Amino acid sequence: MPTDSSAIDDALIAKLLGDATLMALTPDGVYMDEANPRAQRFVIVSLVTERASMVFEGRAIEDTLYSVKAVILVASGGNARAAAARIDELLDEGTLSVSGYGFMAVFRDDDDGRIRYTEIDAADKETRWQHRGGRYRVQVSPLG
Amino acid sequence: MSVQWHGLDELREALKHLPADLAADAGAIVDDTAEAVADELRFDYPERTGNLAESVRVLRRDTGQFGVRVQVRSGSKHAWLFEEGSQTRQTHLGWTRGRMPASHLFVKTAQPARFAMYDRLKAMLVAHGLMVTGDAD
Repeated sequence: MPTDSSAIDDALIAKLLGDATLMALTPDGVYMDEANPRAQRFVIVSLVTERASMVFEGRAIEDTLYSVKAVILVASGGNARAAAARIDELLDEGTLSVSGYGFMAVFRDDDDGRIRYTEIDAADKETRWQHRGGRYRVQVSPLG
Repeated sequence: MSVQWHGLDELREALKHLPADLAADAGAIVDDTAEAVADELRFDYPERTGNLAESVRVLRRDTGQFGVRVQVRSGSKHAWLFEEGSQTRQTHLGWTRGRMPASHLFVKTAQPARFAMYDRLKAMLVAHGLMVTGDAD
């Protein structure tokens, strides 16, 4: 039976959502690509690249690079630094339980690993958003 | 019984020059990769203002006789927003249009080029008579 690569995304998001410390820092949640319109303190996960090592029967290893960052509206009083540190604590050399896959590794990428920038709101120049986190590589092997 | 080795002087001389030769050959491969990545980025960045494409630079760092370090840099102040996305976005007419999604263009361009560069470096080392085991990635 073919494996569903979206299960890797789901496992990553579930891991972040399941952590009470991170959710206290980013109470508006964890989203793939885009947050809800009124969210002020949240985590965005997006897929950067994906590579598969092939064998005769199909994919042997799926190696996926994700961007995982805390996004904080500065006026909300949130702490982007603490949120990014918690993301790193959870993911760098951490574990993941992915349905249909055997877990191999998750770690912050050796190259281009950090994300940190400040966005000035396009509509209100006084408003700032902080984006802070990293790029994490998830390696899993399809079962069966 | 004796064994006579021919060419030991030549081998000793070759080994003395090997690091410099390797650095020169590796430098050409790294330079070539960096320029190709920069060209691809300039081509793929959107043309609305041209700022992103014009800001792409290849910087060569001095690392001494036996090292090579080249950096491709996207220097526009919008580079992070284009790469990683924004919460807000404004058109050139000033209309606010909601979020700009992450493109991840820089990493998507640079990473495959880096892996291909590792293969070329490996082949270059083998061509110099060295044995390579394992992978950089």
